[in-house]
Amino acid sequence: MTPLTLTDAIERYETAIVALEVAGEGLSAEAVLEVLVARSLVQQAINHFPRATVSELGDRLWAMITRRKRRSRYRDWQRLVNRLDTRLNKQAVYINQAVKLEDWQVLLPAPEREWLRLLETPQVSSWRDRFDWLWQGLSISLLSVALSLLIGIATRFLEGGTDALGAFAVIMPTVVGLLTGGGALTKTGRQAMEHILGSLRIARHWWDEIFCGLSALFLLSMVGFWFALPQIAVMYSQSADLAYQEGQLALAEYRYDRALKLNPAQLDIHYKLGRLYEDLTQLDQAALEYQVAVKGGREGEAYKAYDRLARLYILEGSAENYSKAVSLLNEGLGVALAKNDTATMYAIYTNLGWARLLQERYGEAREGLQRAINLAPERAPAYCLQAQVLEGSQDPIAAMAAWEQCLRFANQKDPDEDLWIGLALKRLRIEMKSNET
Amino acid sequence: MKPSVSIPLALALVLMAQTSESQFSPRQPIAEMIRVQGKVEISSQGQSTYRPVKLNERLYHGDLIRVERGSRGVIRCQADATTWTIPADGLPRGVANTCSPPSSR
Repeated sequence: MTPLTLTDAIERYETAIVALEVAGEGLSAEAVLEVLVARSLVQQAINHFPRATVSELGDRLWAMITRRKRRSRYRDWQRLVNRLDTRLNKQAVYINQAVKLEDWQVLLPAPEREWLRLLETPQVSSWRDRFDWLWQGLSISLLSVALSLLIGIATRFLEGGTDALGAFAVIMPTVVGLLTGGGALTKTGRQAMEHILGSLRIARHWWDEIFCGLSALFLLSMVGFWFALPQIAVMYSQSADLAYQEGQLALAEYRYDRALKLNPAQLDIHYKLGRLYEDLTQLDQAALEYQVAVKGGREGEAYKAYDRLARLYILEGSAENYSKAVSLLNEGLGVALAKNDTATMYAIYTNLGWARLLQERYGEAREGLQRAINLAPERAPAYCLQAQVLEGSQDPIAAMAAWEQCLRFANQKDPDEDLWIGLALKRLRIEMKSNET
Repeated sequence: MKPSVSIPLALALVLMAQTSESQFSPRQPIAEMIRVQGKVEISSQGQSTYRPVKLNERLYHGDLIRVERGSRGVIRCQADATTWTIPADGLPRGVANTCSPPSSR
């Protein structure tokens, strides 16, 4: 293409721009093409201007004479082109709407593409982007709370070893947390998230809102998980009950312990742990667990700890412990849940009778034991204790009858009853010998 | 009371009695006498007297067995099929001393 003179090129460029301005939003591709060609010609003319004039004239002297005039004219043209470029730039939005400039710019030779920057659509920032700082701040706050909860949950599951359920319960939220937190807080994570969002063709101005939404979702799931911990604790407790019934005491202990870590407010687990430690003959540990169960509340089976703890006090001996046992048992008698549990009421009255027997307060002992016998006439402990009370009350005939009843129902698998079986046989043997003589 | 009223009432009472009997099943034996040699006696629950025990007799929670010197009595627990030779010293022993009741825990 033969370059036009700069003046002609500028005139054509101006005409094309006027046409653009008139067309406004209803711009045609042809009009755009015309302005591109015109501007390209201007660029060509500018690029060729100094060399052309010098080669055409070839006269150094003339150049010296006209240098000032040429410079002045060149500056005028430059100003004019700049003004026209400004006008073109104002039409850039409409031009970009009318055509896809990326496809067209390859048609232009490289040195003449520079001016195309004029047509780059100005980055229109969405009004939503003005609140990006808010979304980013909110994301960080939400993630901080969620991660704190995650740490709290993970600690409860991981403390003292973990099992398959615990590992799963920790790994899942941790992975989600790392994905969400990494996406929002680390550069690499951010780039990865941007790549994902970009490939999903989600507009850039929504990205911070989406990060914030994901953070909120993560926090919600963590809050949900946190509030589900008591339910998970119940599951652990129930599976521990099964293990206990099957005689797997170590497994039962581990599960009770885990249930307590997940929900320290589930106080009846202390009772169950106490019972388990009693089976393991760790009586001090058992007493500690019963004490917590008794002090903490009366939910679930915690009320059963009253008679268990009282029995341990009685076994410890000493007048002080007997008094503690009596006090505890009287307290247990007032517990509503205990009143509806015959086995517990039996144990409370029996232990009350036992403590009174050891205090040598036989009248009160007899009363408690009789109440126990009335509740469960086919159980041994109250008879065995009643026999001792009757002996203490100097009523040997009635005592012998009670010892016989004790022997009828006692089972040697129970340590207390085994002891009383031995006592009963001893008394009966003495009685038999005295009858023989 | 008219017969037309009393007969259905009696039937209802009989039915109720049978229902309650099936709901609260009679006591389950916890052991069986598998060897009796010499003087071996039993005092069933609720009785104060002793009578000779029979071979293969079912034994219940609350029963007492007494084996005289020179005699021999062996029982077998239902729950775990363990056997127990009752000491031959003339002292009573509860069947429950060794054999656990059906619902011990």
